[in-house]
Amino acid sequence: MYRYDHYDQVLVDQRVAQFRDQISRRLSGEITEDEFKPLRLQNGLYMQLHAYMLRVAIPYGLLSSDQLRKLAEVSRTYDRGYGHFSTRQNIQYNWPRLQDVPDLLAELASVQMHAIQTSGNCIRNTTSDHLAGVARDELVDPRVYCEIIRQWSTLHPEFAFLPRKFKIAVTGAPTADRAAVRVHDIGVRAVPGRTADEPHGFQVLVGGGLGRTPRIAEVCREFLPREHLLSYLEAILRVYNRYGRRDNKFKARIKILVGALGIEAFSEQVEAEWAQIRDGAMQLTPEEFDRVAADFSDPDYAALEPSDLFVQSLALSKDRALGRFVASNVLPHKRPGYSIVMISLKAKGKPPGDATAEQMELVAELADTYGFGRIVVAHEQNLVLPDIESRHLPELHARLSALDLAEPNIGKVTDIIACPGLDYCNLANARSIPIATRISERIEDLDYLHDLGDISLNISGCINACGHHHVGNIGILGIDKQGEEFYQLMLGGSPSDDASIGKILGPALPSAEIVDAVANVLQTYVNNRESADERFLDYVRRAGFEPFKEQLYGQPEHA
Amino acid sequence: MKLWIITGSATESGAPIYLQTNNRWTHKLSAGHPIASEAERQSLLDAAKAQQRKVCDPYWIEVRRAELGHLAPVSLREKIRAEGPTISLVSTPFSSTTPASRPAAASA
Repeated sequence: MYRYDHYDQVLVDQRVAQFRDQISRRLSGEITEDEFKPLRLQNGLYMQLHAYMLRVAIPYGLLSSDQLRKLAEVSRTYDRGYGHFSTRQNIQYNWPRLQDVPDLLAELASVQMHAIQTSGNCIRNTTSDHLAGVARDELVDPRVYCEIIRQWSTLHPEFAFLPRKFKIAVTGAPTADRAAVRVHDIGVRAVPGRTADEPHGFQVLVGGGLGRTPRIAEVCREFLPREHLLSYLEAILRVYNRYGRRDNKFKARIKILVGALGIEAFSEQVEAEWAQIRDGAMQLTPEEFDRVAADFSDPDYAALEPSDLFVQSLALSKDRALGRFVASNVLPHKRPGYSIVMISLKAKGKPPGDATAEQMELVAELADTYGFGRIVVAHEQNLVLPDIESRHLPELHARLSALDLAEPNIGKVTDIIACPGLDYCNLANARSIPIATRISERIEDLDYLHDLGDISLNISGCINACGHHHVGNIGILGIDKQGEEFYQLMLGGSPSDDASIGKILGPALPSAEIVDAVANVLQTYVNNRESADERFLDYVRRAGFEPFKEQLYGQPEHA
Repeated sequence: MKLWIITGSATESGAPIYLQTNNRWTHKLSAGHPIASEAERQSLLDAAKAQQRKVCDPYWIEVRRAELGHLAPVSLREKIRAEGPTISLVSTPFSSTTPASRPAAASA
């Protein structure tokens, strides 16, 4: 993985010193909260309902075991012994004291981590495929380009005060989007060259996003030669920076600009800007690419026999806990004899995405013992051990089980994405986490859970959609109706290659009824699907909403 | 009759604090100073805003008299803010001796 050079380290260390001084002046009363707020936000420090919240960047979700241990140590020393992994592959601490934040950040800087650009109207952490570098269906390792984008966008002076925050995602797998590129401000998809001799390039999508105006990104450029990635991104940012609205926060994202101009006019603007800069200093030379790519070369994999049949046999093991775990949480690796292990942070009754210091330390130890010391945070709020020798799967499962980290539900309906909601968030209208935990406790029959197949369920506590409810196969949005928590149920969303925005099924339901409603929806699907091979999303798209409405509200759609 | 309390977030911890009399702040909502008039509410809010070293973004919330006459927030948001998350945290209960503890009462 990428290691900081001298410039990176100096930049991060200097920022810690600067913020230490700013915090000192805030605590002494020398500066007011109004003066301090933009400073703290530039360092990822929010004010939430109960305390400050610090968001720490995990570039494209990749962590070393030492970094994960440090995150655990920090949570224990400066917080309440746990952290929350977010949908942007970052980690959030919910309880730091202001006076402790400089020391906390200094600890992070010692392992090449920081909280810069995790808030504010700037380019945020670039996210990517959590299977990057190990997936069989990958055309190119997207982490190399993510790192190049990170270096370009970090403290980029032209883009420090954009109209609104800006999120970029990159996928290197052309046929399996696991990075949700179509719901980002810019989505970058690696695609094969147009001729046999041409190297891979990128399809560039723009204008996607969720929040109060959900929108699927459109193609801004069908094929971008890879050496022009940065100059093209810069051209898009320049057009956005120039024409994006600054008069209305709710209409300031690039998706609004793309929608207002139309993708053709927007693309023309980008192309005109790009023509001015495409062959300049931002052109990626082979030497520069190789410099970064060297940090993402494969670890020293052993030459092993293929293990697919062995893994399949484990999935059918008489030990059903192991069998279910392997069936749902273990994925094929690009190298023979290895597997990818997904660690669910969605244990029954637990807040999605939360991990204790003890759990983080165990995962770090397992990464060292059974892998190559690497861990990845998935945007679905889970962790990944990307390089596990398949023969170690049974013992790995046993060790994960000991700390409640072996929930066999990856991709299943209890693998719930949820924002912190009204239990923590200053913006939320309703709670998210209790709905998630109640659903996970309701579906306790694991045979039923696995029979349901792959279903995503996403929950947001307000229209800002941090829980990505619009793109859950089942989406739940918390709303406030005259002081009471109600929940809108949506169906049909997807963040993947077949991206779609879910639609509201019917009138919002009170908190007491929403879990029953989800169970009702699931049973309607089971009762009516053509076969167990018909996915929930495919059934919704085929059958429409009528069967669900009839069962849930007792009436057909047009009654 | 409507009642209000002035609240904000403590600068040092971000924890909710509530205005008492004499410009003192407490972490216990029930120990906050109930306000019965809009004129006093505005006056105390202005005074709270002047204490910018201690408190961030003060504002008023509506409260009511609950059982035994204790003050309680009207909105769910303020109830959660006053009492903490409604969920079981994944970690062990918070120790009052750890650095990030929420103090029992704010300093005057």
